Amino acid sequence: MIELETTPEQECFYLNMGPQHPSTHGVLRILLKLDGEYIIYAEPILGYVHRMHEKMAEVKTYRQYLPNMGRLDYLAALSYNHAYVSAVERLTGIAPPLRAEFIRVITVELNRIASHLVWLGAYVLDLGAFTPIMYAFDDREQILDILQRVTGSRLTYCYFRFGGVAQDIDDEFIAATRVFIKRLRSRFSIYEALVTKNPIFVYRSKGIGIISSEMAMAYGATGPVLRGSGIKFDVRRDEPYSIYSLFDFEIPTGSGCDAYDRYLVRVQEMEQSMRIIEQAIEQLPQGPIMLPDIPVEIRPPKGDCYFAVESARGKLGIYLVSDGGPKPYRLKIRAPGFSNLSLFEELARGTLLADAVSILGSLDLVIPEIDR
Amino acid sequence: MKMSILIKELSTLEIEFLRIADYKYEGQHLEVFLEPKQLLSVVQFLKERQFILEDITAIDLTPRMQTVYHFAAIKHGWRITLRIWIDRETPAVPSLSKLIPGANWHERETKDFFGINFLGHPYLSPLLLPDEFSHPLLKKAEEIKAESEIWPVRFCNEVRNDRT
Repeated sequence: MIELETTPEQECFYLNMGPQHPSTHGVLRILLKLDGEYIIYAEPILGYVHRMHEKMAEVKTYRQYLPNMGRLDYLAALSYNHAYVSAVERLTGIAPPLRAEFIRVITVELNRIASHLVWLGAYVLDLGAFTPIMYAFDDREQILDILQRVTGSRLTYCYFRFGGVAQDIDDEFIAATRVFIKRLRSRFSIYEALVTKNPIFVYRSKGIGIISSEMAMAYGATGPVLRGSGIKFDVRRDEPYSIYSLFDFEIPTGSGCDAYDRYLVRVQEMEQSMRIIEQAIEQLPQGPIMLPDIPVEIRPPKGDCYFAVESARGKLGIYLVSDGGPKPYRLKIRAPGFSNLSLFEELARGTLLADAVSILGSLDLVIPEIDR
Repeated sequence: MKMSILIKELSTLEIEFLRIADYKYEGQHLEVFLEPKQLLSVVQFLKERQFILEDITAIDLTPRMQTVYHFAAIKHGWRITLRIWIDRETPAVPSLSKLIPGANWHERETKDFFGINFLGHPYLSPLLLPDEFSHPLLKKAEEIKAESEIWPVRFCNEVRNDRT
């Protein structure tokens, strides 16, 4: 970091990064004030894919709003499915059958691995390495095939229903998942050689974008961004929901607080997700996947409730207010990426422009989720 | 720290009142009702106890609006909701941005959606919506509900226990 105070105003210039810049992954625009290659000031400008999902919730019935959940975070759509469906269930007082809970956990964790794989490939691509994304997308493709069999779609899933899931998983699904886990474990050595030990990658990420634990907490950062800064917080363990308390898994944390540690945390999380999936498959009970008597037009009683899940990007919360009618009175989505991106302004100050790309990538942003 | 100690300490601060919520049905442990001028001291108290700000939002009700602050403790998973009643005609609350930098964007978003003025905010410009856009989450006259229509028995647990 350089001393910026002495730079005369007239030697600085403004640069727009985005909204079409490849490393902003979507349509994020960042207004940069630069002194040569150094960033004096960076302001993310949002709203290019803003669709006002929260207003849409107020004009649609609870069931009509379900497909919206896949459009927010297109990489981890099932986490949004899970949060919304569970929030409505919590308010209505529905408890889905145990088999449905297991299926939810298995599919959400598969989706989390897929999301982390896309992130890994895209992040390393931002830093100039083209090969890893080919391997990452190859692995992700297997997950999409597995999930497509039960959900019917490959990206914007709408699979969970109030009181269960839309379709049961079969032996073929379980066999394919087992094969996939075995395969991905064998691939980690490839990733290690291609990415983790790649000197260029290490140089571009180690010591870059250091987020102290105080700063992460002050900005409300969650997920791998918070855990990369050494704070062991995972909604799955600390505010247990669904059936996560049944499984044995670790919460990887980093100590370097930099982009490299956030990378390591995500790679280790994939292994933990696989452990959860294995345990869930092992313990998968027989039984119904759907409660029999859920009305088509669901009307939660008056009141409000909050439901948070751990999405691939952090703590995802749905705050729901019901007036007893067929539509939500108010629905607030707490998108993890929103809080994670808000610390970028402070984080980028004084860094090199090329490092800002690395920092931005290490936050794992999905812009439709941030803009909502 | 025990929940009872936290409640005791919170009660010594200037607050309107406090309600112990049913986590199983509401997803929160405590609800604290405040006047706008009491907000900063309560937030400072929560910040010292390692609570993180999850989000800021509002609910449009008649005759008063509500601003809602969600806090969570990363150590023990406790969730606290702060609620402030504000006037619908000239909605304004103190800004938390100086205390918690993460509040900055949440307040800008709430200003976009509800037109609430966050006093003392360093840069309250539109974040998600275009400039000069109307406030989309304000309810129309025929849609707006009174507080009693959402929470018929706000301050006792009878409503919650009805659910089976």
